[in-house]
Amino acid sequence: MSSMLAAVLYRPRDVRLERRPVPDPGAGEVLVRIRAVGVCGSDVHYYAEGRIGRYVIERPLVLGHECAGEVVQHGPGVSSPRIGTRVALEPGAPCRRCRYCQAGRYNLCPQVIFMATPPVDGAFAEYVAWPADLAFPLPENVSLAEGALIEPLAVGMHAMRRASLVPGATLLIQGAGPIGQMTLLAARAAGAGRIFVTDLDGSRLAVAKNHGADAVLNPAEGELYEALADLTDGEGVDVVVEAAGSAPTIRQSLELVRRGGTIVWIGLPAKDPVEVSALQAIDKEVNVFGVFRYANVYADAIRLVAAGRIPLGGLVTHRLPLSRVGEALALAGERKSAAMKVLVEL
Amino acid sequence: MQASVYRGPGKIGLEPRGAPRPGPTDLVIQVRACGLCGTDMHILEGEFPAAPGIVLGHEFAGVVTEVGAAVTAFKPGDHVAVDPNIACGLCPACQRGDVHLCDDLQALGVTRDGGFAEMAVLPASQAYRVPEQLSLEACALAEPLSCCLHGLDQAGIRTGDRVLVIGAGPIGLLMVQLARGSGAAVVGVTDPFEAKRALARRLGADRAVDPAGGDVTDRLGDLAPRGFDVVLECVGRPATAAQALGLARRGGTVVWFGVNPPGATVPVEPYMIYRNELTIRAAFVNPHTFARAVTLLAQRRIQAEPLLSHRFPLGGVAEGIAMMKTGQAVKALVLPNGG
Repeated sequence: MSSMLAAVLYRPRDVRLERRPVPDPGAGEVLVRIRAVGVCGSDVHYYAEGRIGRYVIERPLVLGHECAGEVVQHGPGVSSPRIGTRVALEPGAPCRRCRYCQAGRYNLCPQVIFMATPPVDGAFAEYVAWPADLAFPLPENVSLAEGALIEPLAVGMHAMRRASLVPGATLLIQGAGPIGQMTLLAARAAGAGRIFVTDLDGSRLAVAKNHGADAVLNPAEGELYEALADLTDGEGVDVVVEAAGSAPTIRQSLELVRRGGTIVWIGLPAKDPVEVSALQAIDKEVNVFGVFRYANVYADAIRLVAAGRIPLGGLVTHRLPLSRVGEALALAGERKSAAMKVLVEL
Repeated sequence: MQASVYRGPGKIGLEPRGAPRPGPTDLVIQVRACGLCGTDMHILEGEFPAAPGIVLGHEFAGVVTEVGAAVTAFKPGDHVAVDPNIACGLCPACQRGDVHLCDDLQALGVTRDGGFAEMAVLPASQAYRVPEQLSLEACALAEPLSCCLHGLDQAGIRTGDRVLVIGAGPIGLLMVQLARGSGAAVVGVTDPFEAKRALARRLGADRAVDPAGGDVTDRLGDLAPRGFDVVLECVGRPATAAQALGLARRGGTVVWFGVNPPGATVPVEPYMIYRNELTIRAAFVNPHTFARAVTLLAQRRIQAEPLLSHRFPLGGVAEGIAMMKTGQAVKALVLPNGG
C-alpha cells in the first residue's frame, strides 16, 4: 500500500486521475478504503466555478465528502472500529476545544477541518485517513451507498431539529433537490402531519411524491399562496424549509409561513445578499433558523436508516467509477432534472 | 333522547332527557361514538369526583345537527371531534398559555354533560371538523391521542432515539405509534397481555415483553445497552412508575403519563436521579394538541381501528367498564345511536 488513485481538481472543469501516496493514519485516526462517495452541490460549485463564496481553490484539490468505506488500518492508540468494519465518515473534524465544540455545536467550530473544502482534500480517492470516532459503523443491513448518503440526510435531520418539528405539524419544503428530499424523509420520520413540496422541475416533484409528499406544487403553474391556503383551510403552514437557495424562494418563505411559524434556511443563494421583508417577519413574529451542516446527528441517522424508517433507495440515479469523477460532477451540475444523486463507486 | 347518567359511586343508568338546545355559540351534535376511558372508571369507583346527575363520556365525535345563532364556522351535517376540556381563558394560567392548568377547567363528561347520550351540546370552540372519509369511531380517539401528544411533547423524543413504552393499553398503543412517528429508531414495550403485546408489535414496536417473565432489563437490554433515551410509563401504578426510572439512560427522560390513584406514592432514590441526571415529567390533559391529533388521524399517520376492540350500546357503559377492568379490552366504544 504505497500509492493510490485520486481524482484531483486542478481548475474549473479539469479533473485528473492521478497517483498519490496512501495517507498514513495519525494518532487517533483510521485509514479507510473508500467505497462510495455521493456528489454534492458544493462539489459541483467547486468543479464549475472553482469557488464557493470565500472558499477558493488555489491549489489542486480532491473533492467529495459524502463517503463510506471499510476500515483497513489503525493509527496509534486506536482499537475501534475494528479492521474490516464498514463505516460512514462524518466529513467535518472539529477542534473539540473551542466554545462551540464544548457546547455540542461543533458544526460552528471555526477551526473545523472539512473534507473537500479548500485546502482539505476529500474522498474521491481510494484511501482517506480520518479520526476514528468520526467513522460510524454501519449495521449489516445498511449498504455502503446508503452510508455515503448519511451525510445529506444528516443535514435534513439537523434542519428538523433546528425547527423543533412536532408530530402533526404542517410543513412546506421549497426545492426538491437532494437536500429537499432528505428534509422530506427526515420530516416524515419525525412525524410531520402534512408535507408540501415546491419545485420548478416536474420530475423532481415526482420523486418528492414518491417519498411521501402529500402535495407537490409547481410555482410556474399557479399561485402558491392560494394553493397553500386551499390545502390548509386558510391556516397556512407551521414550518417552511427553504432548500432551493434562490432569492425569490427565500422571500417567499416569509410570505408562505403562518403567523408565529418557523422558517429554516438551508439553500445557499447563488447571489447574496437577498432582500426580504422585515415588516413581514415582524408582523408574523416568525422564527428564522439558519442550518449549517449538522452536529450530533450521524449515529441517530444511521440507526433510523437501519430501522427502516428512512428509505434512501430512491435517490441514487447514476453510479460511476472513480475514473469518471469529472463526468459525475458535470452530470450532477448540468442534468439536474434527471440526476438526483450521482454516486461514485470505488 | 336517552342518556347514560352518573348517579354517584357505582351507579350509572339510562334515563330520558330533553333534547339539548344550543346557546348562541354552541353546537348540538348527534353522538356517533364515545370512548370509555380509565377516568370514567375512576369516577364510577368514587376515586375522582364528579357531580351526580351528569352525563359521563369525554372522548366523543359525531355529526352537527344544529348550530347556535352566532355560529358561522359549522353547519348541520359537519362531522366533528370534540375537545372536552374547556378553559376559562381569563385566569393567570390561561393568560400565560397553560390552558390545561386553568383554575376553572371544565370538562364535558366530567363537570358538564358529555358524550354517553344520543345528543350533546358543546361550545363551538370545542369542535374540530374532521373529514367525512374518516370514521367517527376513529375520531373518538382524537381526545386520548391529543393527551398522548402532550405527553410526547413533554418527552422531547429526537429522531433516532430509543424509546420504551410501559403498558400497551390504548394509551400505550397510541404512544408506540407516536414514538415511531416521531422518528424513534427503537421502540420497546412491556405489557402482561400477549394480545396487547402482539398489537404493539403490529403497530410498530420492535419488541414487546411480558414484565412477569423475569427481569425486564435482561430482555430489553440489547435494544438500549445504556438504557432508553425516553421511557413512557402508560400504566399508572407505583410499581411501573418506579421501574421506569431504572430503565432510562443517564440523562434520559421519564414521562409518568399513566394516572396513579390519588394518594399513591412511589419510592425513589434521589441519589440515583442525581447521579443519572434523570428528567421526570408529567403530562396533564391536552393543551394545544387537539388539531394535531385530528391531522394525524385524518392523514392515517396513526391507526385507530386496530385499537377499537369492543362496542357497546348506550345502556352498556357499566358492562364496558367491567370489561376494561379485566384488561382484555383495548379500547371500548359506546355507540349511542347504534353502529
